[in-house]
Amino acid sequence: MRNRERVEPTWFEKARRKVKDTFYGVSVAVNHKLYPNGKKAASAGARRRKETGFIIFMLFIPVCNFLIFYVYCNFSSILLAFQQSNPDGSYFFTADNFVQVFQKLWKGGEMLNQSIRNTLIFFIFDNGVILPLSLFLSFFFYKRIALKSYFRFMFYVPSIVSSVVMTTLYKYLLDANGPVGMLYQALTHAESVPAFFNSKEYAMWALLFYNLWTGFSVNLLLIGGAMARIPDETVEAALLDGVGFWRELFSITFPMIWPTLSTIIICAASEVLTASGPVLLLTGGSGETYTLSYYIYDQVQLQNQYNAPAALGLVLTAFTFPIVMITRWLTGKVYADVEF
Amino acid sequence: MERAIDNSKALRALHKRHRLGAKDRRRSAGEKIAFGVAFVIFFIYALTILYAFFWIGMSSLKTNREFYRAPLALPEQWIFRNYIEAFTALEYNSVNMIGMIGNALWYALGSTFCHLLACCMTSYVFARYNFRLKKIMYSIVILTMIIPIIGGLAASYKLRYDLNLVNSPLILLPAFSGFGMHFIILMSYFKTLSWNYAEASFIDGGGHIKTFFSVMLPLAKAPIVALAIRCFINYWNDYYTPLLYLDKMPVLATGLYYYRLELTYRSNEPVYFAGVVMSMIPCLVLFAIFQDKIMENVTAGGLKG
Repeated sequence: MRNRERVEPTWFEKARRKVKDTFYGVSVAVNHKLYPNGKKAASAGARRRKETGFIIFMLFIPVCNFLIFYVYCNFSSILLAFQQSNPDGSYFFTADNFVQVFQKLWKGGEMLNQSIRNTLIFFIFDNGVILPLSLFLSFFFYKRIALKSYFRFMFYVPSIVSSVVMTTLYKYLLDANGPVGMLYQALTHAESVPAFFNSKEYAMWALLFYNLWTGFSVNLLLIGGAMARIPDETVEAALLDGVGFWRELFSITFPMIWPTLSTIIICAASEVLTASGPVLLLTGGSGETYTLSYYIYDQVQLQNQYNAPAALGLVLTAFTFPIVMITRWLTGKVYADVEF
Repeated sequence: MERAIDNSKALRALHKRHRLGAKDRRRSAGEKIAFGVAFVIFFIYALTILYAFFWIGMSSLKTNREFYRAPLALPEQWIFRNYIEAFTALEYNSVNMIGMIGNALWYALGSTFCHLLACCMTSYVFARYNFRLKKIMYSIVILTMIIPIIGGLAASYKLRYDLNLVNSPLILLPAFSGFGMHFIILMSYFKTLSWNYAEASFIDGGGHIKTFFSVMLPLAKAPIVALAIRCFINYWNDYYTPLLYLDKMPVLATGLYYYRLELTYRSNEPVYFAGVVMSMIPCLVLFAIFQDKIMENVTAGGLKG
């Protein structure tokens, strides 16, 4: 062990200690007066104040953000819907925007009608075709199909890669110069490949097929996660009772994952009027592929109109809200809440 | 206590073995057909995805002329120069690819950081503290998640324009929103986290802020990292927000989109493909490393995770 020599403190060190001791003494004296029982007498109030301060500190910025970018934004959206501007830049309040929206809705052949039709097609396709398919696919993953992890990886890749990249790939694959285009020519002996993304005949199909090609990943994960959480005992008991493959799927697996499934359905219902494919990236609306979300984007971004789209948005929100509520009510009716 | 844990472990192992046994039981003829058909479908699907990436990788190494002459063949010469050329050739609004990567990193990393920090702050307070407006605020948060707001685009564009956020690095500000799906996930996590850690910290003289930042946040590292990776990938791939608000500061996704719009027959497509391939690399690398983190623990409804 090192032999420690006692070093005489310097005058500075002595002075420093003296000051420190004095402060300490004062602090003890003050505290003793404040909290004579040795406990912090004022602690309840002080603690409460500290806690409140902390809560305000934590929530201040997020709540401000919410107030500005959600509350104010939607409030001004409602104002916009009731406004129209004069040529000199000033504006006045009117309900004309709504009148126009309803007039457009009643008239046939309008862009708006096309948008609504396509949006509903996307909605039905996403939920009537892709969602049930995801359910079946997840079940096969759950039942450990060969090469399971490799396939799961592949199904997930489209959601890892940017839509800009995926649409680029898709576009070039279907191009006259791409493999699908060439295959088409070889099979049909056609002289040229049709304009898949611009013609009225093919554009919607091309978009729907794109959704099918890339649309499994998230649902697959959610449903797969829910299936993995089904308690082993339930499945074992059923298997011991001699339940077959399909019976297991429909009578055990589906009801057991119902909470997840109903959440997916409710989310889907809230997208009933915003469902779309990558219209902007693939067709830009040509070939009669306008959807409501692209229509609004087109109006705001490309035509610099603010009032009419805001009115339309308000009308659409008013339509969607009851749909979501009814769906919530209905999904709650199918099975009682399953807890495990 | 330990014995109980041992027992439950043994039980779980037993269950697992049983379950595997149950799943591995011989499949009936009908099941075999179903699995066979599913396998074929899965296989074809995986092949289309793989081939698409293989095709673009291959095409990015060709000369432009070769790309048009033999689009399906392997490159005669492997021209890696395309990848270097992409850095200067891909340009939009006089921002080249290096600038786009910089913008994309700023946007993606910044937004991820802001959003998750805000979510951690709000979710922690909602999970662990009681205050007067808590119930009302929580109901409002849930309500905003259920009501779909359609057509807010015009107003939000105007608002960002008025706040001078358009074409500005400050576009990250709206990302500082502490509510939504991630709020719910983190809140359920903070609820499960033992409060003893915080109490220990309080006894040691730590205040609320110190306890949150140096005790509770590090304990929630696992879900935060998982969410951060997913968030980063989403923001990196996001083209819609940058397209609307960052026209003069194009990120990689919008830069590539505009470049594709302006592609003419005179431009060099393999160079463009090289840029596309490079834009995928960060996400694919993240995905390859954190695959399990990204794909597991995804839940909705009941929110157990």
